[in-house]
Amino acid sequence: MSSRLFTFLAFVAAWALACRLFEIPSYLLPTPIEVFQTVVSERSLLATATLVSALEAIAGFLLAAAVALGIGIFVSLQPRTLKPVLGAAIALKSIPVAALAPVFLIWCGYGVQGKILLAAIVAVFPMLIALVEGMAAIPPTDRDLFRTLRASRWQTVVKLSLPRCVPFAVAGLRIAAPMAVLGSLIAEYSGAREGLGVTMMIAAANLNSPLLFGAAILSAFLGIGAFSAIRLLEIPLQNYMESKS
Amino acid sequence: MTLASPIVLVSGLKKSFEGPAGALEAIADLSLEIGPGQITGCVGPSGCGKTTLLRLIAGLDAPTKGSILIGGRSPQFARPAVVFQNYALLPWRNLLENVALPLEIEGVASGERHARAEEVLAAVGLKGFERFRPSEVSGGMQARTAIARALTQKADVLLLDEWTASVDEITKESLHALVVELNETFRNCVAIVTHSISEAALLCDHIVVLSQRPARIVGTIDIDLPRRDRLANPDHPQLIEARRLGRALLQQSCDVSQVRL
Repeated sequence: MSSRLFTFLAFVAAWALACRLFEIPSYLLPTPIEVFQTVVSERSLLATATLVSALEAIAGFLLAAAVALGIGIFVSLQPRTLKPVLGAAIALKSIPVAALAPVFLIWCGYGVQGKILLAAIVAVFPMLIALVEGMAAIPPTDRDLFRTLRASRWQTVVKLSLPRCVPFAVAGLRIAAPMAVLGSLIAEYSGAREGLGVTMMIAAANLNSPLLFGAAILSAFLGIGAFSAIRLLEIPLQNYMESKS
Repeated sequence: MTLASPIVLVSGLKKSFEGPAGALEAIADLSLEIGPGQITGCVGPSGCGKTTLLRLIAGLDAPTKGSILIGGRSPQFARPAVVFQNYALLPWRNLLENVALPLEIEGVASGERHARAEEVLAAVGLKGFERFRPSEVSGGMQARTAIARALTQKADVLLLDEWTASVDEITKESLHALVVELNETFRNCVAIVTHSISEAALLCDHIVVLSQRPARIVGTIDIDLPRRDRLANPDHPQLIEARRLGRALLQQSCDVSQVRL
């Protein structure tokens, strides 16, 4: 049995035991069996909600990756823009996501666009910081080499900066993937037609704790899935880089 | 020394860097010449400005005063080839792709650049290692790859910065032989920056001994002995004398009281 599965089963067992020993009412903390039964009975609703949230998170993540890459390339071509770009990114990051969510609801309505945008805003920051750090970590002699070869700025970005940034970028993507999930859920909290976030909100309003817990667990699985998907991407990229030297 | 037609001509060179504590003078006043096919070595105490001099000749920094001409042109246009101390090999590229990099940047077509890179890799003794990554080969092979990459630039001037600092003695000897052989084949002029007076004596036609920072020339040593004879007999009396003289000049160049402080 893998250690992860063992940890999960131990957690579920401790949870079930705590519910029974302390006789906790179901509306406060439902038992794992109650949650499981609700997930099974509401499978159609939860499957759609999970799919919607996942698609929003994936779209937001991809948008954030494209924006971070674009900004990263722009900053490498125009190094003087690094400080203002970082300043703007930090300012954006400093605004609480919960405060931004209603703004996007007003701008984009109840559809998925606002959720995708918010997921992208949450996910872009770690990617951008990782790229900037990667660019700062390029050995000065590598840059000198490209200068002695009279490489253009574009050649330096494509043949040196971006490949050098791959390990940093992968670390940034790994942090950003679960954050994109979080961003889409928070966006759904302030108003949405479908999704795990809105399902949790409705379940909480109706004191339907088993459904609330079921949706929360599925959200956690979504975050773990996003993190693991990037891990899968990391191995071929690291092999490509062969950065062990 | 004054040469009839020097390839590298450094005159009245001064370099200072602006720092928080004011200007830091790295090179005080330096003039030297390197002729076609010659190997010139710069030796001096650590931190004296040897690498700064090499960076100026490579066109990576601009002089504060004075001029550098390579074949009558400024270093920015003359494109001297540089072998850096850490070799600056790109770890995600194999040796062939690393060597082909200068040609790739020039826009040479894939087939032609790989053929030329294979040729140069064979010339430095790395035939059969084309598909290896830098992390999969020894330090000596990495040095050879960096030399091969510099050779693909077909530059008139090859600059070597502490290039044997991180390899063992046996590898060092094989790299010395390689540079002598390549210099005979390609007839490019070579400037070597090194801590080792023995290495300079073994390879160089002229050795320039620099003072502590700010760098000035405290003496030059000319060695008129075929390089292959030197490699065959490193204890040749002329080399022993060059090493003795070099050490004396280096000692003279070191301000011992400053070091103790």
